[in-house]
Amino acid sequence: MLSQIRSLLSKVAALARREQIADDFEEEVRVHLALLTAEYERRGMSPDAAARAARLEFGGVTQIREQNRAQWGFQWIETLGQDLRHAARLMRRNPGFTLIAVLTLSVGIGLNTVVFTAYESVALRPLAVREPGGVLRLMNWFESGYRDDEIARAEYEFLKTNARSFSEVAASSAPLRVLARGAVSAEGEVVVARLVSGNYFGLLGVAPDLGRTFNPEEDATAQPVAVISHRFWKRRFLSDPQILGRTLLLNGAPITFIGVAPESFAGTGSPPEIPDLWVPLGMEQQIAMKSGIPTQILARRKAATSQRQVDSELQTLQSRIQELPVDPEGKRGKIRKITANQATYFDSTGGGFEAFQWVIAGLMAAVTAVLLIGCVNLVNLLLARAAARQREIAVRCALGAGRGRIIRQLCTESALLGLLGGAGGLAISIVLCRYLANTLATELAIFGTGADSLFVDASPSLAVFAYTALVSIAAGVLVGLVPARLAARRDANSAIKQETSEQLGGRSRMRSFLIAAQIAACVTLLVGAGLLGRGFLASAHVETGLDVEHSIIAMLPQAALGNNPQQRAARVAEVMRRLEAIPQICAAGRAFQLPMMGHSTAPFQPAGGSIRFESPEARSLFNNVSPGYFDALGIPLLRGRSFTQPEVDQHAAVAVVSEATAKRFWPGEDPLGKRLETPRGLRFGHIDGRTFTIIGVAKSVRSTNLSKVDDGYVYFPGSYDDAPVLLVRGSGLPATTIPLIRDAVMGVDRQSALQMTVIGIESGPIRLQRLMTEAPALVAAVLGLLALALAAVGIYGVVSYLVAQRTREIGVRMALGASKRQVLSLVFLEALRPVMWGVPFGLAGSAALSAVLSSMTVMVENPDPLFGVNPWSPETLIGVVGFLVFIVWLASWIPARRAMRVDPAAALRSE
Amino acid sequence: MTDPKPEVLQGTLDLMVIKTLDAMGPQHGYGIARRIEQISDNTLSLNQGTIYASLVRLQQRGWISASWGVSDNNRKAKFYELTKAGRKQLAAEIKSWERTSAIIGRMLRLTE
Repeated sequence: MLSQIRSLLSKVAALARREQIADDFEEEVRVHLALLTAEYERRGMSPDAAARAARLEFGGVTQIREQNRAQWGFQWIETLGQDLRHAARLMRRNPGFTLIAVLTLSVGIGLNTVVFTAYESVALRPLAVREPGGVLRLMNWFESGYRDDEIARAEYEFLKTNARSFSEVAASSAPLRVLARGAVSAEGEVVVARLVSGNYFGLLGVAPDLGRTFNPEEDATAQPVAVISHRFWKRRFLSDPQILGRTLLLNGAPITFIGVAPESFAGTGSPPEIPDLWVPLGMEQQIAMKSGIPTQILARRKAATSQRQVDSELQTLQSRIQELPVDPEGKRGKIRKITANQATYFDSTGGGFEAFQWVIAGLMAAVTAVLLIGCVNLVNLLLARAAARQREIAVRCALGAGRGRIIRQLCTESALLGLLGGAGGLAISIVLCRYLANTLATELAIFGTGADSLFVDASPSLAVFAYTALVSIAAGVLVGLVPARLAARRDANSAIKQETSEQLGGRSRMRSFLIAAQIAACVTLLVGAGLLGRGFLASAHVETGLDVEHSIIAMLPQAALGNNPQQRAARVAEVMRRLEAIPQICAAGRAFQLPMMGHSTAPFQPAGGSIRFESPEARSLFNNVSPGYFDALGIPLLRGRSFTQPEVDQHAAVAVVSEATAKRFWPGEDPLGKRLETPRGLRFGHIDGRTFTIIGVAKSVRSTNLSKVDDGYVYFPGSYDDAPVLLVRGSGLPATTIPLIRDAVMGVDRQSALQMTVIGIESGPIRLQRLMTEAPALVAAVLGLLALALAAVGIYGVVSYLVAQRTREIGVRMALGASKRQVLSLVFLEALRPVMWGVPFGLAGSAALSAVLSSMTVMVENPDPLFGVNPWSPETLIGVVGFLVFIVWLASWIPARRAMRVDPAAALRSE
Repeated sequence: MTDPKPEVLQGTLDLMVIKTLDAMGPQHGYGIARRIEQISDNTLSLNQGTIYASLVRLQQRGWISASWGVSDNNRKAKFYELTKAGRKQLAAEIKSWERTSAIIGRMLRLTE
């Protein structure tokens, strides 16, 4: 084994100096023959006879030379070189063919690479830290199904002293929004800071671009120092090299910059939201206004420790962690398990990640279908070319080329096409990825999504290059293999004599099969595109039931409102009071979940009814709202009334339900005065395990998803302590209302007014939701049309070929009096046959797609990508198939017309 | 008519070459071929050129190394030398050969 590896290595090494080796060998043979000749001469032979005897004794020089070359493996590389040169020559000779082939492959491979890059940059790319494989992020999983990576400090301290499988443990807080003054601007602005333990940068092995990072003493003694992110340094300080030593007032306290983090470092958050600064955890009282805030826990696995050892140690420590005094009220619940997995940019254990994987899988299937359709076209082109090259190949066979050799040569040709296509694809993907990343960053940054600080690195990595190379070679060889095998199978004798007829039957069957496969893939893609497109059309004139034109969301900055919760609440109440006093403002309200921006769901049951918590109908959306909520959004109350302020303050046991919920829970009855029970274990809103009396019925509206009317909705009197967000409805458009809101806030707190975010519901969250609908519809439409265009080209090619084959027959038919129409329908039907074979398979594929799409909308909170369009409705299918038949007709029309122009006499004579 | 000369098996030739290098020290191709012929009293059917296939194979496995030098009669020639790995291999090959020939010998005696 070892000697085999060494032998292979020495062969590879020899390739570089193969001329040297060949020369050496010639010299060696010459010396050998000279010595041998001298020996014979010494024995008394004449020089001529001695030389002859020496050659005889030595053996065939040419054979031995060939053997030597074969032993060093030169033959193989030389054949490859020959094949490549030959292939390149052929490509240059047919630039049109080469261009089409390379473009087709480029598009297919490019799209594939884009999807792979998206997946790779989210799921596979390791953090830009030293030995990223050993950096683990901890996660607590609770019995309730809840999971959390913001972990109590007691657990952090416990792991630091007790966990043996980690060489080091560090902590990092969630991003904290802090008011900064001084170096940034006199007015101040909100910056995002993360508090980290003193060993954070050391554990990760991240060296600063400028200055230094923290040392543990700075954390222990709460030194006011900060490392700033590269992005913040560039944006706010224009990459000022003199940044070190400057100070910034964070919540009023001066903090000195000691270092600039490298550009590639995005922190350890998931998703990767880059903070502006990192500050020692010891400074938490100053920055977070609290002490002992929960943090993310990062650990460096010891070099000699396996992941299994880590898991089993955590399992052992779990019961002791459960006993830690972090949760005296027992609110947190029982820990089911604690995991420590490699830290990645996006948490791969979450539900969001699963959704992402589904999206990627769907996209991958779609782009692979496009690539395969393109490949099928190339197979057809190559088949046609192989037919044209029959003579060349036959001559090669006759001259002694083996079948394997011919196949290898043809495959080299197509692999070269594949590689060129791959290079083009890579270029396409790089451009497209950059464009998409920019679009994503700008489109999503519109409003409160935090996407403006997201770290999206869509540049191709080594894995992307490897993937693209693999796909290109695979596509190239795949494309070449079928025609090559067919070509090599032919009998040399008959090919030289140009007997072409007998193989054609088999070949056109292969073509028909390929067309059918193309059509099947095409139908599936087009049905998907058609459904999503119909959803998109439906989304354009959807009625939400809310007063989207006049309603506005105003988010006040928590940091600016003050540190004290009572003070904050009082200020928000004062803002509300002032707003309500303005005549142009119809209503102001508050809510825990904002329209189109989030949702809560839980099972509820009518007291004494047949629906129980366990039944699927019990699951409903819910919200905690203020008295003015319904009026602020323009949701009409059909029966009863909204809450009163005392009811909100006292968490009274009253509720408002939507029309849909009322119909479901109390069909045919008057819901007012009925009682509704809430389950135990709801963590917020004071609604845990109580019974509520229904005091009002609100109209069913679309407040969670633009794509469907809320399936069921229960409103409880509000409790929204921490989020200072206001919903305001003005009598005018947002452009006139927004300044009024700003003025009102300005009267209470100047800072808050400067920093608050105000946006109309239509131009904010609804626009975001529309984007979420448009993007998939657009992608599906582009892919579907691309697939259709490719398939149409393929059909055109095949029909042209068939018509060319049947020129004589058509000539005969026309000579015998067939009308143009009959000829046209003959050609068209010929073209349609493989299409009709493909359609049923395509329909099966689209049925699977419809099943997936309709299963997505089962959950009450999920959006409906089709906006109520029934995925099983036959219109889409009929439309798609009709469209395909039209394209087939178009693709066969041109060759058919050419056939009709055939002069019958000429056609007959050609035989 | 004499008996036909026996053909040389591939693996056997490799063994002969490394044994020759072990016994004689660094040697060029011609020298190795001569030596093998002499030892076998010219009873082997061996084209001298065949030896080069063996030499390449042994080099690729790292058992011998080659370098240019000057022969006894002042000619430039490529000299082959046993490496450390080659010496180890020789010991192993000898042992294996002895085992094989002992088995064959016993076999032949049994069937006599």
